[in-house]
Amino acid sequence: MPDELQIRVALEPACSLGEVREQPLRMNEVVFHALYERTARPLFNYLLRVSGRRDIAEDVLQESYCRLLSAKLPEMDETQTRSYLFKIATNLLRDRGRRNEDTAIETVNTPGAMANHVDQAAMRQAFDRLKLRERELLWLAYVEGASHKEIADSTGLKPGSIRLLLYRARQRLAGLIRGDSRKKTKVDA
Amino acid sequence: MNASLCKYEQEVMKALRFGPLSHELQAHVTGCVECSEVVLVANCLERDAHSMGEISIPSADLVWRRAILRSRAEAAARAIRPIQLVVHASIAVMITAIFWLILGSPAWLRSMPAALYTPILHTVRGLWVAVSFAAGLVTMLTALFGAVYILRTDCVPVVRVRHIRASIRITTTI
Repeated sequence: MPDELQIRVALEPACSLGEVREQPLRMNEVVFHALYERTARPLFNYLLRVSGRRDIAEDVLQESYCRLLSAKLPEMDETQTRSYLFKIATNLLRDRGRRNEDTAIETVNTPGAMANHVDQAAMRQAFDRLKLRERELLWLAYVEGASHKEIADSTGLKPGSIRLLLYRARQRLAGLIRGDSRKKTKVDA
Repeated sequence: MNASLCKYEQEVMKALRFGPLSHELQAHVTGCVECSEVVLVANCLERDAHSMGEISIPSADLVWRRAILRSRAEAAARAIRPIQLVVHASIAVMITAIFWLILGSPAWLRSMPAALYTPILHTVRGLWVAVSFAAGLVTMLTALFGAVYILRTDCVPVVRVRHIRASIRITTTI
């Protein structure tokens, strides 16, 4: 038989939920946890590298899932949900950029042996020097393996222009990486 | 801009994602500037993404709670909206009534010269009566719709009872 305290603890959230009829969320907690486990890491990595700041990445990540949960959308499979999350996150990052809230990009150090690698550091510096859109395109294409159509969906660009924009961004990043590597080699010598 | 877009680009990208490049593709990449850039950029970004695996991310519980709180706040704001509308409408009616009372019993205006008093007052009186009538009507309608909305929103006792029952059941089983 449960004691009084147990019943009170159990009743409290249920009663407060009933007092104001909240908008039903898109999925239940178990389904959400499963989805989060599968999709949060790549989305967070994308946000961290594109924004260059951990606090922004965490905030936008949480906001993206909140919006997904409260959105009134037709049924979507996991690929579509994932694409939708990237789209929300990209828009939120752009909104922040427009409001000039987050101008400074800080280099986020990652633990592990790779972070100390000279090429890796040069790559990160070079990546931070790219424009926001270029960073989005490159990460979606080469890390997420998104098709041109998926990239267009996430970024709001025309599918026909993705290939060219991607080509330019890639050319720029490759140039910056090579340039930085050469500089590093000269300094080391 | 006339970009030299290689036809093997997509193939190289796919191959990079699913394993090492075949000998043919490797030979092509060595001679193709564009595809060598693809390999360079893809490898660098992939290594970078791999190195980020140890960074902690916000927990799913935290995000879920934030979504629940947001949902409640939105529901509360929605519930208050009709009440706010009624309050604003009441303020508007009150202001209208004050003006109407002042102009409706213009004892102090009689001391003014007759030439100024008569034509202006007739026009203003007619206008204010119409305005106050319209404001009263709008207020009544708003109050009516507000009341219906609130009653409709609050009419969910079954769900509440079900929540409580479910919680009790969980506690007793534990």
